[in-house]
Amino acid sequence: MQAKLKNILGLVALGVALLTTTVPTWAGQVITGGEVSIYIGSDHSSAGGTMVGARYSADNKQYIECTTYLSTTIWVPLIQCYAQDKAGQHILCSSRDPKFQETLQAMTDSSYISFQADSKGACTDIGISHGSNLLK
Amino acid sequence: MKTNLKKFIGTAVLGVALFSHSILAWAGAVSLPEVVVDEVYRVAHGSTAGARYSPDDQQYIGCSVDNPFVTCFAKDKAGKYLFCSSTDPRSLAVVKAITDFSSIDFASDPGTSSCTALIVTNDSTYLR
Repeated sequence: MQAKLKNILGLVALGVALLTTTVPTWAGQVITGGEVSIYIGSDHSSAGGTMVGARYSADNKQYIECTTYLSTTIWVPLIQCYAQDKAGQHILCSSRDPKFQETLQAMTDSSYISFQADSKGACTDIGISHGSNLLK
Repeated sequence: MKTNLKKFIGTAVLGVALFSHSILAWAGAVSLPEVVVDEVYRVAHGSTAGARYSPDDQQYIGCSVDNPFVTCFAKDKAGKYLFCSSTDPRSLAVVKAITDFSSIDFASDPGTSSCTALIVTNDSTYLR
């Protein structure tokens, strides 16, 4: 009888443990995927992906990043964005337009980032989106 | 004996099920650079997450803003410390981009300790 009770308590504990690890996965709307995608064309290229999608993807290739620079001694771009997809394709754009630097100030750990580059690698557009459904 | 085997298999399955949650959480490219301070060249580099979650309790890196003053500072695990300061409005624009998944690089002028370079990179691989 005591052994049966122990078994039941064990099963209950197991059930609770499994339930608590599963519940957060299904609460609220979550955009799955969000992995880095890259388009490379003859006159322009573009990339997009979420920070979470890239970071927690199944592969260890993809990532997306943006950098802001200041140098008082050498020429540097104001900003630069770089993305690599799971196949290893990558694109880069850079710019000295202050409006893009301001855009990058909106980056968070749950952002969706997209950018476009012309054929010379200059950024023509950078977009950053936030939403509860982009959180991990 | 058969019951024991069943229990063993059950425990193993449970272990794999629980462990697989953790595996998914840690997949993907990741890089958490710790703080490095070079006192000779007066440059510092490190990531916010790499410093915060390093095994030691010494290192940190960051920047503070008291408009128009920007100060960036770093200490590595060996205790080497460096800072730079700036009133250049462009440095404020750079520092505003710092998040909890940034890497920060700065260079400090040997005479004045003013920031001669300041670089902030936000990268998905710097997410913990």
